[in-house]
Amino acid sequence: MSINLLPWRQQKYKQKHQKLICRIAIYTVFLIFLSLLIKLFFYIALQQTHSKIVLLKSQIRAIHLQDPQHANKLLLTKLIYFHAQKESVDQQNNVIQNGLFHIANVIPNSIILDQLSINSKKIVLTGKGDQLADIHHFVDALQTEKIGKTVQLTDIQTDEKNHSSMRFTIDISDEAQQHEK
Amino acid sequence: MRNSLLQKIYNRNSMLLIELTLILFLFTAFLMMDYFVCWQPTLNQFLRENHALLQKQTEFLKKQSQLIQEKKTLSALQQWKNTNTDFYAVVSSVSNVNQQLSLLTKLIQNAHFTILQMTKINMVKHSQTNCTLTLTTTGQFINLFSLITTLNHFAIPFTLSELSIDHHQFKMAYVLRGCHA
Repeated sequence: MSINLLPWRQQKYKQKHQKLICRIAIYTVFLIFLSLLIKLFFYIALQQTHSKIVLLKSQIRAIHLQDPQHANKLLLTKLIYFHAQKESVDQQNNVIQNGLFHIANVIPNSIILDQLSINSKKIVLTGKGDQLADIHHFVDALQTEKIGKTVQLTDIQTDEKNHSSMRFTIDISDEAQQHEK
Repeated sequence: MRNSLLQKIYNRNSMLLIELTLILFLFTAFLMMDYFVCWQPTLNQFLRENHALLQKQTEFLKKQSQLIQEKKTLSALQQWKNTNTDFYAVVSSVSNVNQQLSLLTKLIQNAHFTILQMTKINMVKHSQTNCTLTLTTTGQFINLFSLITTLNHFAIPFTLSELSIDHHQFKMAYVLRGCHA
C-alpha cells in the first residue's frame, strides 16, 4: 500500500501561505493606521497651536499702551533724580553764597576788590588797599570767619599806577582740611 | 521520535524569529519612508507654529508687564503731582536740556544781570552727562545773593560751580548733573 503525501503537503503549504498573507495584511493595516494616527496627532496639535496664536493676537491687540514712548517713565525718573540732587546742590550753592557773604561782611572800607574767583574748594581775591595794616586786618578777619581752612596772603606789592596804595592777592582754600581727611 | 519533535520546535521558533525581525525591519522602513514623505512637512509646520506661539506669548507677557508698569508710573506721577505741585509743574513743563537752560538764563536776567556771552558744554563723567553753562554777565554784587537764593528755590538743580568777578563783569559756570537722564 502506498500513501501519497503530496496533496497533504500542498494543502499545508497553502494554509501557511494564506496565514502569512493574512499577517502581512494585518501589519500593513496596522502601520497605515499608526501613520494616520501620528498625522492626526500633529494635525490636532497644529490646530490647537494656531487657535492659541489667534487668541493671543487678539489679546495683544486689546492691550492699549497709553505711553509707548515712555515719556511718563522718563518724567518720573527726572523728578526722582532732581529731587535727590536738590539737597547737595543747595549745599554747594550755599557754600559760595556764604563765602561771598562773609567776604562782603568783613571787608574794610579802605580795601577795594578788583577780582574775585570762587568755587567750592578755593577763593582767590585780588584788590588794593591804602594801608598794609588794613590788608592784614582783612586777612585776619577772613581767618576768623573760617571761610576756608587756610587763608594766605600770597602776593603784595605797590601799585604801579598809584604808589600810595598796595595791590594784594589772597588765597583761601580747604587744602589743610583735605590733608587732615 | 523525540529528536524529530525538538527539530520541529526549533524550526518553528527560528521561523518566528526571522518573521519578527523581518516585521521589525519592514516596520522601521515604512515609518522612515512615511516620515520623509508625509510627516516631515507637517512636523516642520508644527515646529514653526510652536515657535510663533512662543514669540506671541513673550510679546503678550511683555505688553502686559508694560501696561502694569505704566499704571504704576501714572500713580507715582499723580502722587508727585499732589505732594510737590510746583516742583512737578516746573519739571514736567521742560522736556529737554535747552528749555532747562533757557529757564536758567531767564532766572539770571530776572536777578538784574545782563548776559553778554553764553557757552554750553556737555561733559560725560562716570557715564553721566553733565551740562555746563558758562555765562559772562554784567550786574551788581548784591544781586548775586538773591540769584543764589532763587536758584536754591528753583526746581531744576543747577549748581553754581564757579564764579569769578572782574570789576563789574561776572563770569558764572552752572552745572546741571545728568542733564540727559
